[in-house]
Amino acid sequence: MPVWHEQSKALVDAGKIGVIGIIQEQHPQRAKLFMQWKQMNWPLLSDPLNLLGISAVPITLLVDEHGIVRKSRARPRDLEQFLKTDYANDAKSNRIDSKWITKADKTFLRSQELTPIIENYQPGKRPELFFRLGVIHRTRFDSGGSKPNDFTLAVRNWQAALDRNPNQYIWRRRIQQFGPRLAKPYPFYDWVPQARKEIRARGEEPVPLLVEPRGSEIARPIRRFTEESSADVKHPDPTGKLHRESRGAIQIETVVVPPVAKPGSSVRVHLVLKPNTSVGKWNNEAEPLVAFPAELPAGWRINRQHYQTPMPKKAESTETRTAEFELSIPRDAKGTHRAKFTSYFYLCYSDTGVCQFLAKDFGVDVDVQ
Amino acid sequence: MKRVLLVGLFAFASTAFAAPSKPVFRTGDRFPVLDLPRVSDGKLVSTSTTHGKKYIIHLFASW
Repeated sequence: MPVWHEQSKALVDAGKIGVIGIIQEQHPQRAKLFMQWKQMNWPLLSDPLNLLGISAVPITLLVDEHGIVRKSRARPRDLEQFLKTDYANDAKSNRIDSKWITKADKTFLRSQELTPIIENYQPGKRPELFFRLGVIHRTRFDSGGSKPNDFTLAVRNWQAALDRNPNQYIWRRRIQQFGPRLAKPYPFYDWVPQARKEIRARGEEPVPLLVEPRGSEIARPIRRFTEESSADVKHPDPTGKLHRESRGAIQIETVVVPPVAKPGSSVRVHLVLKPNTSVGKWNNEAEPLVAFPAELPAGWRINRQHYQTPMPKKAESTETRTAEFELSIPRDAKGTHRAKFTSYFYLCYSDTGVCQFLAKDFGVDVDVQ
Repeated sequence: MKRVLLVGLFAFASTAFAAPSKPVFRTGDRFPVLDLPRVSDGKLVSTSTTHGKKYIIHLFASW
């Protein structure tokens, strides 16, 4: 894209041609930051549901004044001929049949009310609708108004779509974005810190991101499962005597990516911890939240021995916290296996005002087929 | 055995890492007219706003 920008900038400035970008991402603000970083200022539209039906990016098209594609997979050297040709309004076909786009899809693009859309969404047997339903679930997960299992349902719907059409790389990338390092083609958003640094060095303020990329989204690919070394953290409760949180102050969603794993592969486990604010809030005056694997199935390996989440500066907070682990699955594993984890955190109960250091145990079921 | 392994590796690589090469838009197709949200403010904008002028359309992701 930056190469195209350089080679077409003078033509655009002279009014001879227009440029528009249509992005295929779950989080469009990230592309806006990318554009700011690369100093590309053409208009940007977002197609999170992939209504265009493309199966991979990037694609650059040259489109004439009648809206007809004159060059697919264009190169900058095609520009000269494109500009000097007079085209007739003679389209062979329409790329998209309007019936492929549902009323719910259109509603999603103009509405913030996601719950009625999700409740009425009916993918039937159409793979692209499974993908779109996954996008809507993930959007609600990120919205601050998430419902239990939104992230899980996003991943499961994306996988259902991909199972029906394994050649769809927009869908495949959406799973890989949150998946294990062994399955990643590249680190998706590791460029963000460098972009912000260079933007600030120019005296500008970087575009704010609504959802900060983290964990799997910035992890680098690996070729062999790695048990990472990490700073020692003293286990807070080696004898298991700490009180367990039992009043429902913390909701835990565990998300396994991919949702069904192959023997000998690995999965990324996302632990999503969200306070039930009517019962309690995080207390940030002492230690940060830390999660430990408590028990793994025989022969399984884990990439790290603990995960410590960042702690806000406020004394109390209600944000969603996440911890991520990767599990390596033995070649002879089959069926559903449970890995057990425990998280340790400081919490203040709303009714009594009492703040305590507590533990919460939970299991993660991994489906191996 | 080695050959089987190699074939397996290629099969895995082809699904995990390589993007398909088949064209998704053909020359002569009309580019779809869709209302899509503008990233700067979320307002729906029709792709038909490009009509009347020659355009470069980039379909991409920032990753």
